[in-house]
Amino acid sequence: MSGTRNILLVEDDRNERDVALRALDRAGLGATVSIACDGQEALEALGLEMPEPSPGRPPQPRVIFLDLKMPRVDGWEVLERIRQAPETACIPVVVLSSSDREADVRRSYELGANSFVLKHFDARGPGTYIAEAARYWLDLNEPPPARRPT
Amino acid sequence: MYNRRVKERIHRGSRDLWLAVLITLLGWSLSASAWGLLIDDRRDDLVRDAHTAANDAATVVAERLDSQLAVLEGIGEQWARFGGGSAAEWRADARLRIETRNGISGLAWIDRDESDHLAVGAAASPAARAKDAAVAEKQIGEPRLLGPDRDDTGALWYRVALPARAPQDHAGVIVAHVALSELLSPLLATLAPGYAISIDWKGEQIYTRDEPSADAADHWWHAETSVALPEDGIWQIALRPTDALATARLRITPHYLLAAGMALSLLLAGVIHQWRLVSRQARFLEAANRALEEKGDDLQRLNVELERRVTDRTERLEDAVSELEAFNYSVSHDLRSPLGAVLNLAAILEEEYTDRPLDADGLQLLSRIQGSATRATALLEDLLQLSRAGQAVLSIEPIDTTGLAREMFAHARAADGDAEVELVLEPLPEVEADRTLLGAVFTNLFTNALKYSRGCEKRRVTVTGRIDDGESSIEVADNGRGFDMRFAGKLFGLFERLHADEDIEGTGVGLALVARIIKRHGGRVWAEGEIDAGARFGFSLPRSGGAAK
Repeated sequence: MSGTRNILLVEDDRNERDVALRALDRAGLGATVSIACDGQEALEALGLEMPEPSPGRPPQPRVIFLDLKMPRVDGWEVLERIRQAPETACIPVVVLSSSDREADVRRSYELGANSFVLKHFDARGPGTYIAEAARYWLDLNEPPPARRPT
Repeated sequence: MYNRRVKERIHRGSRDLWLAVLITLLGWSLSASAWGLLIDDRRDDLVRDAHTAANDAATVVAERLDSQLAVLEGIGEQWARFGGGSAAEWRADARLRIETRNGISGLAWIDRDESDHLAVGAAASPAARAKDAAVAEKQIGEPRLLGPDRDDTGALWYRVALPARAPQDHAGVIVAHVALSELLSPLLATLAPGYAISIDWKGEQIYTRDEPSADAADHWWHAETSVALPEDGIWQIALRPTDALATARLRITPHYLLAAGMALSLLLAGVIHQWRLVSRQARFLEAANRALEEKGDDLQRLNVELERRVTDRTERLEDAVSELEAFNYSVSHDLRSPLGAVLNLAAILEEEYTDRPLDADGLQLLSRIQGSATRATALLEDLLQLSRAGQAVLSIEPIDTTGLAREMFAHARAADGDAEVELVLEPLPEVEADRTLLGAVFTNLFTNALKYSRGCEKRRVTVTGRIDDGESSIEVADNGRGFDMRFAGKLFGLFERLHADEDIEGTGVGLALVARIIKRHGGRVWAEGEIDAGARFGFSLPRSGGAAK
């Protein structure tokens, strides 16, 4: 199992971000969480967009939690770019959306999402379901092997 | 309509006979000229032939007269040479000469004192007449031709008298008595067939053969010649074509030719006229065909246009449906997020502060709950406005755009906190639109401009307008933070925002509202911008007034 337990959270809504961060923190997963406030920032964080990361690539996250509806670059575009780039093609992506529209769910899977989680109010505690999903992807799921440098 | 025009054309064609008439006249005059030339030529032929025949006639007649004289001279010489002789010998000699058919039918001799005479003849009467004449002319010194005389039977005669220079006993005169018909008929009976011959002597017609053509009497086409007689007189010989000859030579062929020429001209004129009519009709039909083809093209163009419009409408309908779907989705999605925030933040507040009083963090949570609730309310209001903009009946009127822009800018600035902002407002083209909705367009554009230039130095909003290609365009530009042109396509979408910054309020409805209003007026919207160099939002309205969509 890889030593890095980092999560990339892509979410434009500050309240959603705070709820997710708080839940992840309280779950005691021992994970570090990076934040991207929209799609553009997510691409930059993954080294898929200018400005170029310097020096070397940033450490790739074990899992990406991706909101769909965001200003500038939306979640689908980010997902498409992630799957197109060899460096990020295998990173598990969990789509977090408030839409359960069939077309949105299908499109997400077609573009290569590994999971689709509907945002909702969790009576057990705000964002608990997010922490549960994170636990699954960090602890239970076998991550893709790291890419060998060529 | 085409039928009537065709008829008119054809009718005009039938009136337009001038060419046919011209050809007929030309053909006729050519035929007449040819006919005249032919007639002249034929007349010349006739006259030439007549002259030849007349000369021939004169020659034979003159020769016969000469031979008659020679006969008489012969008698005289015989008389002289043999010193007379017996009366019986003379008679025998004279009879012989009469019988040689010189036309002489009686001969007589008489001496100067009428003491002796002899007379012989084919019958008694000619001999007696010859003798009478000899008596009358016994003193002549030169040959003479006497006559014409008409006897009891109406026959014409003449006498040739010749002095007989014989020894005194026989000196006197010899006279031959000649019936003109006996002289001339055998000579001229077969000469110049087809011509009528007449011979005049001293106003008396002494010979005629055949009736001349009635025309020939009045015209110059006859021939005359004369035979000189031993004394001063002449026989006038005239030849004229007979009716048969004139008809054959002058009438039948030339007249047929003339008739044929005229008929041909008429035929030619008719054919040409018909050809002109037909070609005129053909030309007209061709033109009509072309017109029809053009109509066909028009029809096809119309069809294509109709199809294009149907496609257009269908697309627009599909647009509207998908827009409605997107709207429903956006509403549910975007309302859910502030409401979810309220729930989540309230839950956090509950968890964290069950056993302790609210501290600064708690108060902040509360304020965020309020903020989310406010946002949900604002969203609902904006959506309501959008819905109204989509459904309101447009009340199109001419609008003083410049005045409206100034008014709306004042409102927007007041809402923004009466900040220090320069407004550059050019005179704008007057437009025809719904005043309330156009006001909302300006309000949203100005609010945007003020919002995104907040914090900039020397804030300035510039409004410009122009008219081109049947539409009025108006642009609102600011010198604010601008945007990345890559995202220009999203600007007018519902709930689309290019700035995640929390410090810029907004629901993402404003530009969608602008787009919807302008679309309902039949216009279009656009946006240009550059990061940190300002943004420019424009819309256009058709000049002929807004079309309600």
